[in-house]
Amino acid sequence: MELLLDSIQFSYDRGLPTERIVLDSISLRVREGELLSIVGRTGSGKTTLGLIMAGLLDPTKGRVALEHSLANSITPVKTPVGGAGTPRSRQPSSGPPAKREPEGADVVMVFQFPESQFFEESVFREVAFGPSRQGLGGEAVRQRVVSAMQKMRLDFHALSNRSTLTLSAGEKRRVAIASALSCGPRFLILDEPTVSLDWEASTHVFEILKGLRRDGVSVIVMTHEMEDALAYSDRIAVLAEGKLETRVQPIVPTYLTS
Amino acid sequence: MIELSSVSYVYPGQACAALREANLDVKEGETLCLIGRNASGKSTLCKVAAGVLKPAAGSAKVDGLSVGEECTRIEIRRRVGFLQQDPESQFVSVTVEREIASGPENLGFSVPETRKIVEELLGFFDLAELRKRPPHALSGGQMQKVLLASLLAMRPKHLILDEPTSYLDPLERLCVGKELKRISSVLGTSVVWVTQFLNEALASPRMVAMEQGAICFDGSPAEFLSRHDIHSALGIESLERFLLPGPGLPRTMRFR
Repeated sequence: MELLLDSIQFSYDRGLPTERIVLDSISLRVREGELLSIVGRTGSGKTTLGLIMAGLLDPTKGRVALEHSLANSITPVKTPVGGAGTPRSRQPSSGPPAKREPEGADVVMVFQFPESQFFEESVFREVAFGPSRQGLGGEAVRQRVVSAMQKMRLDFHALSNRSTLTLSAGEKRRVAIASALSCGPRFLILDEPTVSLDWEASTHVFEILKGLRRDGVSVIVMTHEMEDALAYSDRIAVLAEGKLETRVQPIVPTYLTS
Repeated sequence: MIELSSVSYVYPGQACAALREANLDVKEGETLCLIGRNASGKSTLCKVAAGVLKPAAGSAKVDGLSVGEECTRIEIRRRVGFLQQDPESQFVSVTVEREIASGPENLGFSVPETRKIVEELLGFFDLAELRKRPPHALSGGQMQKVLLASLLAMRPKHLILDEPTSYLDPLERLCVGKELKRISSVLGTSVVWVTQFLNEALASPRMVAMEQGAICFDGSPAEFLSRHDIHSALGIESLERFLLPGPGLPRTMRFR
């Protein structure tokens, strides 16, 4: 399955004298199982592009779609929630072993500020929110939570009953990513996932993302961390002045040399 | 001067202390970078030093005023500019320029003076075009710049900055670092600066490292570089990647 952006345009303050075009004729195809980094300066529109990809913002012009490469059918992206996501249809249990888990979400986004996606009382319920809305039973949900927290190196016993509000910034970030992982997404969009993470944890996050890619998950990262982007991405796209410049090989973005 | 002596703090309902017998002196005009892993107590230390949290044990003083007493609270807040981590939760005004002006206005600065300060800061942080925009509608990096500008507008004697550059791009990070250095040397402002970017810390005159609520290192970057025991305690495998091409530059700049 591929995520397709076709001639996307987006402006804020539409119809007002202050209207500004933030994204202009952006076309992009996110392939299955690739790690794509989108870099750009502060205010270049990275977050806006992420929200459009996740179906949380409607583009002014253009189209976002999920394309099934085999069946050649196209589904428009439905509105997922940060950390939750759209339900995915159940695959038959017989037949060749599925690469991914049987239930999951199509597109899941981890927001820039973890605080803006938390609404449950405890860490456990926060991470359980996505899978419990995908029709999974209690034990299966618990397994997903345990595995997602383990992946993000969050101590299950120490943290699962804590309120998300009492965590440190780095722990909040890791809970936010864990609650996206627990959804079993096909496309995972992460907006500045390494902000407020220590050096160990941010390398660890990129290692996890690399692992997801091997499972066929497409990962899209909006970041300033050029070193990580260069080290881990299959492709880097540079967002500058509303245009997206994509290159097959990770290269030095122009904004760093100007 | 900020003086913390044997400060401990335990959050309500928590079994473990977030801060254990921390000792720290920050002199006038001194800049120090505070580093450490996630949940090592950096933000808690900042909150105590900024007069927001009262230590459970030990004493914390800002210019001789004891933290946690009713009579000193307002005076401490006036002297300390404190930038917290989550940018979104710190805005009080409806537009960027009002946000920057609100501090000096409330401190009784004159109108022309306030205007001058606001214009200077809008210019420095490249925010002039965004002046009429609501701060909540900005990008993460722009929010952080507005918050830094509103803090600097109040001309505080001490700046406690909890990851002030985390959402900025590498070039902006460099500019903010230089500006803080300038402010500190010209105005004698003391700066406590939490960062996850080791190269920022290595470029500052003094480094303080925390691990599990305690201060485990306090010294110069040169000293830090030679302390392999501290590196392993902090989980830093290799420092080389943070050292190129030279201190003061974001580590990403070496890809020029």
